[in-house]
Amino acid sequence: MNHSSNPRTRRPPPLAEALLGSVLPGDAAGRSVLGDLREEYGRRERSGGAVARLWYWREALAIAAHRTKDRVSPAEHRTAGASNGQKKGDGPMRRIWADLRFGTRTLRRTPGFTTIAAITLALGIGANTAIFSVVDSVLLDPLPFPAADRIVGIWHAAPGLGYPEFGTSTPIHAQYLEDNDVFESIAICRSARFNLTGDGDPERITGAFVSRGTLETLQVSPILGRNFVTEEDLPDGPQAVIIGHELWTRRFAADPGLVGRSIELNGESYAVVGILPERIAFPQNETSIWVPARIDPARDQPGSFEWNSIARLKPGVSIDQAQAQLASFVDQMPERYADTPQLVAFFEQGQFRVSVHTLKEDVVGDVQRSLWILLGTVGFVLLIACANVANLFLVRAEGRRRESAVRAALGADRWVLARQYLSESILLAALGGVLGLFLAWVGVSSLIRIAPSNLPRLDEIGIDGSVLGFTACITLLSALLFGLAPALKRVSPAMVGSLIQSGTRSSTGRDRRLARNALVVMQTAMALVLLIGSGLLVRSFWQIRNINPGFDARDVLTFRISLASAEYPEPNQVAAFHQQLLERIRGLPGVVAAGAAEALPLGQSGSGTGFFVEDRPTAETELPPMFWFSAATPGYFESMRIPLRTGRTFDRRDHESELGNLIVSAPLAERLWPDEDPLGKRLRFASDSTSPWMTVVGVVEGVRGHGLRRDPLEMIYYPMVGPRADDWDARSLTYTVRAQNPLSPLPAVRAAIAELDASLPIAQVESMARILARSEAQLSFTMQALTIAAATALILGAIGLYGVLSYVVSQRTQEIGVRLALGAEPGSVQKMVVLQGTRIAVAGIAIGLAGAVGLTRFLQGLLYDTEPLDPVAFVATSALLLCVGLLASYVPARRASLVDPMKSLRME
Amino acid sequence: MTQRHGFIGEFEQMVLLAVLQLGTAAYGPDISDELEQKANRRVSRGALYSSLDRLKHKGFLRWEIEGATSERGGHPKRRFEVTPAGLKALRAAHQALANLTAGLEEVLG
Repeated sequence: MNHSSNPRTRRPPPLAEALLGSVLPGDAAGRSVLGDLREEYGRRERSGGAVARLWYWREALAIAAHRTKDRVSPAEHRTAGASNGQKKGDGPMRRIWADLRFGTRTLRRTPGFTTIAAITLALGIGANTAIFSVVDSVLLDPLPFPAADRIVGIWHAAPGLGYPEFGTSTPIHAQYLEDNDVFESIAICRSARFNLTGDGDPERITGAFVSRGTLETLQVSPILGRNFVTEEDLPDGPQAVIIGHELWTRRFAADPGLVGRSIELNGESYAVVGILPERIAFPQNETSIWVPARIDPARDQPGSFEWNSIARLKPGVSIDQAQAQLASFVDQMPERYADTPQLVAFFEQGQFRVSVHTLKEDVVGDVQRSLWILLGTVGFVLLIACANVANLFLVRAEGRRRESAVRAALGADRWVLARQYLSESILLAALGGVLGLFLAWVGVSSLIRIAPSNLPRLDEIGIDGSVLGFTACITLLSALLFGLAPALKRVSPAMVGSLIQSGTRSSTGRDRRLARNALVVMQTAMALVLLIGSGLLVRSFWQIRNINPGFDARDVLTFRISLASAEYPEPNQVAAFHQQLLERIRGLPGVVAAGAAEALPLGQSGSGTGFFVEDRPTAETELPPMFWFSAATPGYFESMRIPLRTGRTFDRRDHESELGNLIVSAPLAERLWPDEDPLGKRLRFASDSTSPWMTVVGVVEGVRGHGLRRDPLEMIYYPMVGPRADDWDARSLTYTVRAQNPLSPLPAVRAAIAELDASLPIAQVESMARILARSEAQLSFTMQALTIAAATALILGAIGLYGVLSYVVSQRTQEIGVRLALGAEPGSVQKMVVLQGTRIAVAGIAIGLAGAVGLTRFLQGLLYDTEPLDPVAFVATSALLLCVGLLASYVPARRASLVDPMKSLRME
Repeated sequence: MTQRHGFIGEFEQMVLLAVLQLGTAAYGPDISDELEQKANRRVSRGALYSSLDRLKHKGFLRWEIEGATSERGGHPKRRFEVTPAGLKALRAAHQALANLTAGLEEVLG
């Protein structure tokens, strides 16, 4: 696909365009400017998108600046007004302009102050906007469906057997569908992957089998074509497919003629009947094909919970009501399935129950907590930044006390003064806001890069209008926050007193010093809370990094290959293909070992089912023990470096001459045969009465397949051929190729696959190390973001402390000079200043510790093997903060000890 | 900053000359290109449009609105023309410059 031919990428940055549109007049002349820029953007975009966007932003800002200036500048109005006889320069607009000009001049006179204050604000505002952009798209508006708050997910659980949450089965779905009166519609679906072949490269695509009513429940209608009709859902009906917008535009160039044509999925022909609108993907973010489920509840097992169920509540029905009705159906289930004693045992021993919650909850899931934590965190950073700027302003106010007093004495209205100082704050806030917006743009792109991939709508996150509004509000709010206090203070009636006072003896000076100290104490406290939070996450991350997953993830390339039953009907054809491909891959340069398995740790979760164990017979009313299982080829354990405990791993004979062998994981062997030799023991699938007994020939170490925080799995590995008579074989395998450099054999691997079957797609190409890292993406995402926030807070806090102490030193120069002249040691002067800084830091740390005790429990769910009150994190971060505080005090202290007594005394 | 009626600044002269040079094809981006190529003057769109508006206010410039195209996102196009008053002002400025440079050929090269 040619990228630049996509009409969407030609659009200039929407935010910049919106900004431009808002400053330009709405007439044809104004719009022609938009057109000029759009046209030129299109031209520049072809030679580089980032450069063109930057160009557009620069020009848009320049135009906005000129427009604003032209509109309010009295000079311009004089020339323009001369011809049309109007004078717009008078009145409030002109006064505001004068204030703003005054503010600009004073800010320009103190570039150091202005720079530090603007950067401080930009850090706070930028972080806030970045996080809010993510929160806005993910939390506040995660679902693209109409009236999405009435869509619910229906889940089941069997806590008695340790199954937290799973879907539904077709017979149970049929019962709910028949008997409920709380849902407008109810549907089930199941993800599946398809090989898409014909026109273009073969491709592996995520799709879903959907029951009747799925689109109705979501209230989605195709933008082209139609929904499925009843006969397409019948076992012998015509094969039909509905296609997602993304796939339609990407692979089929948005051709409307696709509807009515056929495409080839898994080697079979399906008629395309409809195209869904943009942004619609369900049940997964990447689902782009929907095929009728053709369920047959009468034939399916009620205990086969492989479907996801969604429903739309009738208006006025609450989730609790729906839940109560489904729970009453669940209560009747043991009676209803009385002829299947094992299922009844499952219901009873598992304390089988149903739970209904909003789809939004399902989609947003655990990520929600991380995002709220981050939002709170950056709120802290913004507060700290505001406190810092307030402090800087207070310090400045000191320096200008005389100026203000003189002007007040000469008759300046107190509100004129207040307004002038306030306009300085607003200018500064605007400057910080613009810089912050830029930082936010950088921040959003980096957040997206490190975000967990299960974040919904990840690709749609951007800085949009509502985020811009949010930033504007924060900016104005902070302008008021830090501008108002000093502005009001400065015009207090006691001011005239300053005229005759000098130095630091006035009581108002004392008040201000207290106010500043309080601000720094608060900053320090908040910085400590953030530091402790990130310290706890870093410690958890460290603990998790040290967990042995049971395999060696380094230098392993993984990819998935699926053989369609239309082209490889026989299990031994499947096995022969995999065997052949593995042999070719092993012959490639740089490849150390290669194998494949149906379920990959931390990737495809694999399946669990009941097994009969020969020497542990299961009673009629008892459930057979459940184990996870996966097909594995020779070379799999070697390539993953899963250690062998006893016996042997698979080799050729296991799927050629000597069928019916198994390998089990150590946790399984320890549970079933704690004091016996597991080799030679026999097991078979409980669900399939025809499945033969299979013999254990090896025991491998357990693998933490479901996440590093979970226990190693009780797992059964069986060879590619033989364990079951039905189609449950090794059609889809994930290959694991160990090589010196994991990605280097990829081109040769692709060539080897194409040689064997040119129409076979290769999917989910990833290094094992990446899969491992992703399994803890949420923790590392939160940790990185929180650490950045904490570092920012630490820097800002240090700046604050430094600022206050520097100011104190400069105010007390005379006093220090006198002390030194009277024989005080420079060292003792230094100690005095450092002590003052330390007192502030210690007070902040004390308050921060108290705050952290209250707040760290919100991190609980993310922590691993780390208490929310972990003493190491608390002590280490407090010590760090104290060190930084001492450092920030040292520089002003040293300056104090170097005061020249003669000079300081002559200053008076 | 104050400008008396009838007088034009250096940059405004350049803009008017660029519009004249472009003849019947004087659109915003072309004026910008012309200034950059012939006068070696890189100018932000903000400054350019601001000057164009100002010159219209002074009566030295007028524009016509032309139809929109899809690559302009449906926005119209503005074609600029120098008015007789503009031409007069340019001539006056040019004459003033000529008077002032007369006899300085050796210095100016």
